[in-house]
Parts: sequence; C-alpha cells; structure tokens
Amino acid sequence: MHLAVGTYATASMMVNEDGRIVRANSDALDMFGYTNDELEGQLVEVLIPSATHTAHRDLRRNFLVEDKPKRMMGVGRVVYGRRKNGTEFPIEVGLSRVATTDGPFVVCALIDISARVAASTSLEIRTRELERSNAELQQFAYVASHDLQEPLRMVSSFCELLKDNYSDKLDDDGVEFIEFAVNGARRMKQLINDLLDYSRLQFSDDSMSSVPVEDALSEAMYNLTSVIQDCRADIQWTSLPTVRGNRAHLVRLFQNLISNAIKFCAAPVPRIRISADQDGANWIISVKDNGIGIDADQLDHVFGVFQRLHTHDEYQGTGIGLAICKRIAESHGGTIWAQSGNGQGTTISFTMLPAEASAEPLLDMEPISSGSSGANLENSNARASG
Amino acid sequence: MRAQAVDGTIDILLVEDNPGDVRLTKEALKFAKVTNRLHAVSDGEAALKFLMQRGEYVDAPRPHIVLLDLNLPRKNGNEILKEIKTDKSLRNIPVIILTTSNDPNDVAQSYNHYANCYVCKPMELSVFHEVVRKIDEFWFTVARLPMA
Repeated sequence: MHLAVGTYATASMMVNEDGRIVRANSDALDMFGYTNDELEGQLVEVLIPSATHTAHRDLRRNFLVEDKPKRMMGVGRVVYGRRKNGTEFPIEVGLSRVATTDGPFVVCALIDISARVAASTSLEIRTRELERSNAELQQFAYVASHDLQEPLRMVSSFCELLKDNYSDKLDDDGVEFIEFAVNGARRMKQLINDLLDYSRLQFSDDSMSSVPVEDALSEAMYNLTSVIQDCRADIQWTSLPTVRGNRAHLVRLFQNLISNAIKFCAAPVPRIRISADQDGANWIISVKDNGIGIDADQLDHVFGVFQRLHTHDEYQGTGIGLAICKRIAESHGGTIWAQSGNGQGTTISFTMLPAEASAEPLLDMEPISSGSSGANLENSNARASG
Repeated sequence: MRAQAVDGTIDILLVEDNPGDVRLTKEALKFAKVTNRLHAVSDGEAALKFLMQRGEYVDAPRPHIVLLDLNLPRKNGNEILKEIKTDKSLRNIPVIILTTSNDPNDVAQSYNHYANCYVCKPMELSVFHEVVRKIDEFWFTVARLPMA
C-alpha cells in the first residue's frame, strides 16, 4: 500500500484513521512544499486553511463510517489546500477508503485546479460583463426610442399644424420647406418605432416551446394575406419540422422574410419556396425567392440595423427587417445567412434546434467516462449501482 | 363647496408637463362637441393639489374627467393614479391615461391601478385629433358620468 501511493502519477497521500499522514508521494510533497519528514505523522489538517479545520475533521471522521467507500471531496464547491508557505490554492480531492489488517486507511488523490478555477472565474466575469452590457444596451435603445418620441411628436405635429393652418399665407418655397420637415419627421418616427421594436425583442427561456414550423409560417402568411393576394405570390413549402422556439418570434421571422421576398421582386409573380434540411442535430430552414437578389459584397451587410441597399424612391422601409430576423435567429441559439447569385434570387437560411433538444436528454447522452469531474464520477457510480 | 358648472360645461384636468402637448390637446378640443374648459397642470403634485383644492387651487372646479400623462417630473403618472384611486372622494372621477408609451407593462400597470382607460398619443396630428374627438364623444355623450 505504501509503495502504491509512492508510485502514483498524481499527487497522492495515505491517511490513517486518526487523520495522520502516513505517506505522501513526491508530487503531493511538491504540491504543498513539504519534505517527507516534515509531513509524516502530521494531522492532515496541516494541509488545509485553518478556518476549515474543524469542519474537515468532522467530515473526515464521518467518511470512515460512511457506507460509500469512494467519494469526491467538495463536489459543487471549491476545496482549498494550504502550502507550507501559507498560500492557499484550489484542489480537487478524490477519496478511497481501504481496510487493512492495521485498520482503515484513506487514500487521497489530489489535483491542483488553480488554472481551471482561474479560467472559469475569468469566463464568469466576462459572461457577467457581457450580460450587463447587453442589458444596458437594451435599456439604452428602449429609453432612447421612448424619449425621442416625445420631442419628435412636437416637431411633426406643429409642422402639420403650420401646413394645415398657414399654407395659404406662405409662398411656394415656404410650403415646400414645411413639406420636407414633415417628411423627415415621418421617417424619423418610423426609425424610432423600429428601434423600439428591435430593442424589445427579448424573451425568457420559458417562452420557448415546441413550435411546428408550418404553423409559424401559416400564421405569418395569414398576417400578410392582403400583400400576398395583391401580388398573387406563389408560396410553397416542403415538409417542415417542429423546432424549439418562441412562436411569436418565429412568426415574425417568416413574416419579415416573406414580405422582403415580395417587396424586392421584379418578376411579375413573386415565387417563394420554404424548405428544411437536417444539419447534424439542427435544422436549416431556407426561404428562397425569385427577387432582385443581393450583390455578393452586400450579403453580410443586409443583417445590420437600418442597413438599406436602395434609395427611398426605389424601395421604402427603414432596413430593420433582416436585423430583427438575425436577432430572432440568434436568440434561438441559431445563425442566419444570405445567399444570392446573378439573377437567381435570394435564399435566406437560418438554423433552429429540434423541438426535443431540451436540457435533460442532452445530459443523458453524455458519455459516462468523459473527464474526471466529480459529477461524472458520481454519475458512473449511480449507474454501476443502479 | 365645489364650483360646479351649471351650464353643462365640462371641466377637464389635463396633467401634462409638455406645453406643446397642452397646446395640441387644446387645439384638438376646439372641435369637440361638448363645451369644455381645459385646466392644465404640469406635474403630479400640482394635479393632486388641484383635485384636493389646496393652495392656489382652492377655487378649482372638480374636474369631470382627468387626462393623465405617465411621464411626469417628480411624481409620475402611475403614482398620481394610485393616489386618486385610493382616495374615497376622488376615485369616482374617470382617469384616462394619455401617453406616448405603448409599452404593455405601462398599460398593465395603469389598469392595475384602476385607470378607466388607456390611450396612446398617436404621432400623426390628424390621428391625434381623431383620438381626442373620440374621447370627447365617448366620455361626454355616450357614457354617463357620476354626479360630482
């Protein structure tokens, strides 16, 4: 037994039932900065921060009488070790109880997880910062668009009052100037409304459900009934899957894509095809049209907020539609992209998670033997006994 | 004693901090069916003083209806609404929220505080005129108001 501990590749120690260190291998000695002579016979608490001494002593005694002969220490929280020089560092500890003729011993395997803890801490900090800055951006867009409405309404309303009540007192230039002001205010109003819309596009996880894509598509088409009838658009789709998503937002996504396909069409009849392809566990949903297409160098730009590729005389709109689509696709954990070739129309595709991909089954599919984390060890124990 | 209009004139209290909006509402009400007197106050504290006839508003009439903006300095619209609707002598005055906000949370909160009606101020002047005309028509000719 002593020999075995001495040759372990990871830092290991053997502790007797009184909690005294019987043997520590060289990795363990290096880890804590002691020599063998200094450590042998010491209580194991010498290696942990003094604040946790009492708790550790109780846990140690309990472990000797526990049913389970193996255990990870500190599962779900970080355990700290204390070096000879007083510095503390996070460790992972695996314990095995061994019965011998000299009484029970505990073999401890020790891993210094400073690097891992530091990495996950910095990741946590970054994630928190990102979440905060996202929330601030959301707040900013919302407040800005809200508060901008008020003065804008003043500008546009009083311009209109001027136009209605004083046109006959102004010369042609005066009338034209007011007309420009009214139009500018009207366009700004649309921009602000769109920005407000965009900033409100957020939803919690519990608004996600199983959504048959065909249902979302049908609802989008229903909302666009008059537009579709006016241009006699030919819209067809192949069999479509059920995905995990926010129904209202998926409707919105299809509505924007279909109305774009109809709007940016030079052919006599807009032709729109919706299809779904499997890509690993995900679905790729594509909306293909016979419209005017997008130049290759503009394909990435079209998803930006207020990005327009045409003048207001050519095509109306603020350029928020695809930005909203992008935001919806991304908030569903997917991506969105555009493809367009010469005279081939445009295909917008986005990925969606299948409906059954909820959190629990995913965990179940994880291989039992992956990694050495405490959770997995416990899982494999549960499996073995169950 | 309340200074009551005996000639059928309707007293409207407009709680609105933007003078431009006060003017626009006045303009819109010019075309209303019912003769009305528009009393405008620019913040929540003044609104409550007016309603309770305190300070400079000691002779103020009891309004038949309150048009209340939500974004107000110091005391916001919802706070005033809550005070009106928890005051035994004031709570039967219909309060119409008239605001630029179309935020569903604002709408919900206002009705939770017993607003009688929530109206979004439209951007377009012509639509705003139409909305004021409809408020006038509904509250002063279709609906019956309680005796003051």
